Amino acid sequence: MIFNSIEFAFFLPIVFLVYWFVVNKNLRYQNFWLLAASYFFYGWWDWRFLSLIVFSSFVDYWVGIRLGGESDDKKRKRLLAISILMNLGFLGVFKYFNFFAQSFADAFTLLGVHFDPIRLNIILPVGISFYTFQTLSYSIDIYKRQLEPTKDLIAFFAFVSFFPQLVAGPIERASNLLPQFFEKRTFNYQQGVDGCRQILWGLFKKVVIADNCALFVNEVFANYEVYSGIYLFSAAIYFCIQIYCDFSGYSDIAIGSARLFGFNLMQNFNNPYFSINTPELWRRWHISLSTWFRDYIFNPVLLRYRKLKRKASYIATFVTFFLIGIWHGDNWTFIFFGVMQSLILMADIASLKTRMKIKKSGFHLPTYKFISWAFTMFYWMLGCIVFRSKDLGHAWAYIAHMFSDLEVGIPPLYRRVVYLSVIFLFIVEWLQQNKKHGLEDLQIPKPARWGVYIFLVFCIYAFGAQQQEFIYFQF
Amino acid sequence: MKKFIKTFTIFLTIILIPLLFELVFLPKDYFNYRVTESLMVYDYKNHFYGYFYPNQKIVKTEFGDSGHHTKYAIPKEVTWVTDSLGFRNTIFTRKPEIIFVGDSQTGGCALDQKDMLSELFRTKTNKSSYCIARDGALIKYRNVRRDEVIKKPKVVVYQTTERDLPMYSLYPEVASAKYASTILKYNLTKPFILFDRFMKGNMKNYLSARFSNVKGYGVNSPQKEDFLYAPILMRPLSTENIERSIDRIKEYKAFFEAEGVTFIVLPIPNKETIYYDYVPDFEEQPSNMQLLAERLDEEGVYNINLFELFNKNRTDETPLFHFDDAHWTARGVEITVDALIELIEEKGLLD
Repeated sequence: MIFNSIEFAFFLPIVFLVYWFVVNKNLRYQNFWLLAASYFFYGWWDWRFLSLIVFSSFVDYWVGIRLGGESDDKKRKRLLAISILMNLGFLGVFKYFNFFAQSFADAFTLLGVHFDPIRLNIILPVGISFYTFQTLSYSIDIYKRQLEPTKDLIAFFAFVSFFPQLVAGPIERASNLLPQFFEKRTFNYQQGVDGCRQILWGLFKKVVIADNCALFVNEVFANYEVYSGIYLFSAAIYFCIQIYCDFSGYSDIAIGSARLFGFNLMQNFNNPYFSINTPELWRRWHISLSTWFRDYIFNPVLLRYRKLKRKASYIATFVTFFLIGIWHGDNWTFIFFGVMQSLILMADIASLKTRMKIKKSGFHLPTYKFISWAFTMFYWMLGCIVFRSKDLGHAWAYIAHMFSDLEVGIPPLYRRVVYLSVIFLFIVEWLQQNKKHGLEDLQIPKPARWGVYIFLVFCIYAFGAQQQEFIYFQF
Repeated sequence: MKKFIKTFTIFLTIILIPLLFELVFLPKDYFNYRVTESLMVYDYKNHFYGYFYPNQKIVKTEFGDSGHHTKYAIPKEVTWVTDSLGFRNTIFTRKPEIIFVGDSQTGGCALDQKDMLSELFRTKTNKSSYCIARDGALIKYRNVRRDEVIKKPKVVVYQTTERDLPMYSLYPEVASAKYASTILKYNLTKPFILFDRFMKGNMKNYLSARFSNVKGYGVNSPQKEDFLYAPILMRPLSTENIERSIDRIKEYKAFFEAEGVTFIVLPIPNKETIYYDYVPDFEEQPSNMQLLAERLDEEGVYNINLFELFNKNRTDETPLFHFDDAHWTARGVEITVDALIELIEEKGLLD
């Protein structure tokens, strides 16, 4: 079931009403109801993959309890290894097996040895990268003694499969989300209303902007040879907007839905396109993933090589972003995207002193910021082209064609509804920069506020493009 | 919680009022420039046998698909009547002698009810006829035959248009109109129409189209300004597709003959093929439709050579295709019906 579907429009109110009116007296009943609803939500795609979530939840539940009661470091390591092997094993089999097998065969082909790799004829379970990382963090945190294991089976299973964030995040840490399953929940009007606002804002971004951009982007990326450079340039910008609105829209709907049930999920996007450099962009983009990698990959690697001083930062950055690239999927384009990000981040570390000198030399600060922002966005756009392309050859051909056939002119604006809504989006996000979403606590009179909500509903209804799946479902 | 429910209900009511107003008070065709979209079922695969809402009648001044919302749009007074199954027929006949299966040309887009192929044939011959039409109509034919809501006819006229040749291959199974018989049995037509219109969102489509300034897809001919041709629909029959089309048509013929039904194929040339001299893309007339007709004769498939007939009868005063629409005119239909009657009488197919 996807958020921008008619099924979800019926599902959410039913789960909400039963949650607050039928099972509201007992916390365990509420958790059980959320678990049942979450499994139904996930099973709507393919009920067979529920077994994976159940198995993964059960193993991490068991590992957590055993880790909590174990003081022998060797045994603790072994238990953690079980959790890591199981979670990464699922990912390896379902997501990467065919990719690695093919890459292995391709590597041998270069040496003149030809063979057909074994291929698994399986489909990727939706959201596997998200819930496996969530359960992994639970086991690692208990191993590091940063978290107490839970014995409440229902609460733990509900934590793993909590439907608002099950298939595309935010990747919640057990330390933030799990305790909320043990707290008595009473309905808070402000929280409920703000949850609705955030859902509305997310739907607007997804249905009106991302889905409409997708129509143009898909066409140009599929037939880039026949379009001029300016079209390719426009499509690349539209894709940057599409992927942001698609994923941050999803996150808004997820966070808003969770708030309706009394849960607070972490913020996943914080106006990333207002960033003036790439490190800042990654602090604002897919925050739950970047902080996950920061805590479980970057920091440990940095610590491991700390004697190498600055080189340790380079190694940690490269490893982290290489893995972030792989996390996105079984394609060299994602790995290359990750490597591209790591290179710019390493360049950022290397050029720190020079940039400080420029700033102190009295260079006009707004101009400096603008140049820095423009360069950051341009580099991000190149990364997005690689990300969107079907393979590296496609990405290279697209970029080459874009620059070789680039004439000065007004870029095609595509549909009026798209560029007007994009302008509207960035105005709202600029004005609401210090808020968690575009509609939080609008400082305008109530009738005008309601006017904005009705206008957004109208836009979703009238200008929503053909339903498209969320891009991040494939991850 | 009460406050939340109250606020949410007020908000929902404000939003739903225009929608409910459209569904309950406004005519079905209020937001459309032609009737076919007003009556067409959104979830046509499941709810009804036909492509349209059953038991409807609409009288409207409509405009052509190539020229709507432009100064070249030509107003046309049309009446649309649909039967209890949701096909465009004035009279529901359970045992028709002849069934016309086809696309929007047979469905009578841009035509008054009386000028439709099936209706004109009945008027001229007094034989019972039935129309099963819009895109991919064969599956609809198979549905009504599967459920025996329409009895086996003596003849099926299968119409297709040049741009859609070769037709799709026959599917081995029919998995459509899942709920049609249940809806008919329990008389649930009205609530389903309401639900379908809600899902279809004509008002939404209208607002979106007007905001985006959507116009007809026709392009003015340099030779004759008010003649609009449609580049997206041109697709003349290619030489390599002639034999493919023959194979498919033979496949269809075998299908109908296995049922004991005489098969007549009616390929209509594109508007741009007949008026090729108004289309800058063509230096000479695309003539593969003539070759197709000759090959069909060789293969012993009953057919009407409309390429030849239309070329012979082409005039600008009484055009064979609307200048602002991709579909044929009443004159084009009349020529076809006359030729069809001649063929049927000559071969004694309805005797």
